[in-house]
Amino acid sequence: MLKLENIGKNYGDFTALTNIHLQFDNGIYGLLAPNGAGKTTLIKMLVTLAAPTTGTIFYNDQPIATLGEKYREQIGYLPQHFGYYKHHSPKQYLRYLAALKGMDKRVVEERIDEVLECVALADVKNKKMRKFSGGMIQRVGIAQALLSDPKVLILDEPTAGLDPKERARFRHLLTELGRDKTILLSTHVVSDIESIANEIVMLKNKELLYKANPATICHTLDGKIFETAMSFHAFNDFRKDYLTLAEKQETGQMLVRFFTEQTPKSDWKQVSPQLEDVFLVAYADEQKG
Amino acid sequence: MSRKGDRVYITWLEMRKVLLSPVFLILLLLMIGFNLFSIWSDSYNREELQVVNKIIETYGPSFNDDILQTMERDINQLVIELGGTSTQAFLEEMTYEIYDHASSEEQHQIDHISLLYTYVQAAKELEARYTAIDIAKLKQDFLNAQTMPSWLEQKMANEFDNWHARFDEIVETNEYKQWFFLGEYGMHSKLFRSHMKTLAFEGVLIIALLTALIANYEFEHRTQLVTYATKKGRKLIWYKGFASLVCSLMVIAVLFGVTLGTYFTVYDYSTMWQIDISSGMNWEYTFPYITWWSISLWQYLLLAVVILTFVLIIVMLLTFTISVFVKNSYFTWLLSVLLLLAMYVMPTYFPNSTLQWMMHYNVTLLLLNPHQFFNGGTSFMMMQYHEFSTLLLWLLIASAGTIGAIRHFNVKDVV
Repeated sequence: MLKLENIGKNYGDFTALTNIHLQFDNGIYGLLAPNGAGKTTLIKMLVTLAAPTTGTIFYNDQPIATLGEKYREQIGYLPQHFGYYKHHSPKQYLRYLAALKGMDKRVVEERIDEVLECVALADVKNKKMRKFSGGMIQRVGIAQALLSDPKVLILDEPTAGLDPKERARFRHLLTELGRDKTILLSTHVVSDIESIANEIVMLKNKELLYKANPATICHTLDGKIFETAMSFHAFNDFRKDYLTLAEKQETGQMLVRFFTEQTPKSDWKQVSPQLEDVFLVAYADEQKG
Repeated sequence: MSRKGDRVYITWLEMRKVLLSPVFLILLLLMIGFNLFSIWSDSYNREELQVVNKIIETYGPSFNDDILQTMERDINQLVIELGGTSTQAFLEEMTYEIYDHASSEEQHQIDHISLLYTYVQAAKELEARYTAIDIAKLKQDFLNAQTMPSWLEQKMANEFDNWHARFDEIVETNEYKQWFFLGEYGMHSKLFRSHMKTLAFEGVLIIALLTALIANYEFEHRTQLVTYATKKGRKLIWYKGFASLVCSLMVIAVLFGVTLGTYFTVYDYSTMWQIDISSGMNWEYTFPYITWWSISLWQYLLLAVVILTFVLIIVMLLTFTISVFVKNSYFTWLLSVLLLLAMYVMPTYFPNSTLQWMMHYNVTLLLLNPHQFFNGGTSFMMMQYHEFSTLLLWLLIASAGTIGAIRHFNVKDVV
């Protein structure tokens, strides 16, 4: 179990995060926030690449700073920008990381084959990575995060570069792993976590905005999301007054999905809020900004 | 795998990163190529130099008046065999036409006589040349030329007195009366001032580069987030430090081994390993080499290699320290070289003699002067334990810097 108490991070005078209290048990957690909201900073603190300015992170009730290696051996981490050695094959690179992860050499080879199979790279395990596509590299990144069968899996934008089929495969894999692991999945692609996350964590203005299951978060917008149809001309004026969340052309008109706290008008149709709506509403000011 | 096995494996993986680097390999090959070329291209007189080995084989490693007289008689006998009467007259009358008309065997004999005669004459002159050396005057000139605080003046005066005593010992024990390549050939300078100094500089360039490459590898390949978040994580910096050290020692072994191996294959020193560096025959410039201790050629060579190895390890440690703060290999490399350059330039910018004295404890001066190791002289470098003190001081500074840098790395954010 991971527990964050009053976590804050400053870089000089700049505050990247403040007053974060969180707890993660086994399951999948989606970390949703736009760029610059402090996602990566939070993750770097969780994987010990950065130290909190305030507060303490606990793993099974012990500060991770004290646990050191004992904590890090429980972590699998895929950074947002995954670096690799171009002249290495996936197998060579994973062997190197297995040594750094302190894995028992007797199981390394078998485990490497297992994780490469898992990310569908078994066929190219001995090929140099310099010839790999972005999606293949990302899959190597996922494989290395899984390599030591960690208890805590922290993935920063793991689906970047994956095609729809690979994304689906990845989501399925996470769902299986989430049964006995803590998985923190940072993304700004809502669809990646909407269906698989047990809970969503949202950050705003360097602070925690929500931590709840997707349905609960969606309920915060109950009665505030509507759809209506209008002409193209009217849509230009409408969008100045309302926060539009989606729009599409339909039979010569614009079908608009929007957020408002006003009393509904007769031609507005109230709809169920989706996680995407919550995201867009929560960060509307930043999107405009 | 055992913990020890893990450590060796990870260190080896770190070493591989640089040992397979094309920049590193090409640079190493270029340096070796350059050294071999410069040895071969400058070896036109290697046959001529063989005469010293023949002298030592025939007359022993040292000489005195009796030996020189015997040698003169033997040379004279050779002259008579060629139809001459006395050596001096024979050589004075030897013109190009006479030499040209002689058979190749006779020419070889004439050359041999000429060389032997030159060595004997040089040996005979040594006693007078050593008698003319006035260490007391050198001391006074040095002390007069500097404005020093009394403690430093006293210290330098003591150094000169000790050196004077050592010089007297060299003269009394006839330590200087040993055969070696004649000073005019500059063989001591060729080996230690030219080749050894070149090796030292090459060592600096390549060791600074390999250290920077190993230390910064993760940041340059953008793998730092993955590697430093693993179980070994920040400890990897220790492995990098150790890998840099092992690679540096390997480079020194290869670079020095190949170069010196080639040098001693080209030039025959077979009878001279036990000859003292303070041999008067080795008098190259205005002053002979007057070492603080009786040091034979093989001891000097070994100690020079050891000193330069330590200097290069210091360079490695300083580069490693810099690389923790500067995450670019080539910038780190440049800063390390500039640091050494600054050490060289700095003493000349200090008007204060105490600061000048302090600044002479710097590793660049060791890199620049392998031919002057363990020698007295007329600068602040002349002090008896200068090499040892400089190495100890800088090993402490560089080690402290490295440990400080590693501690800093252990707590700093990896970005």
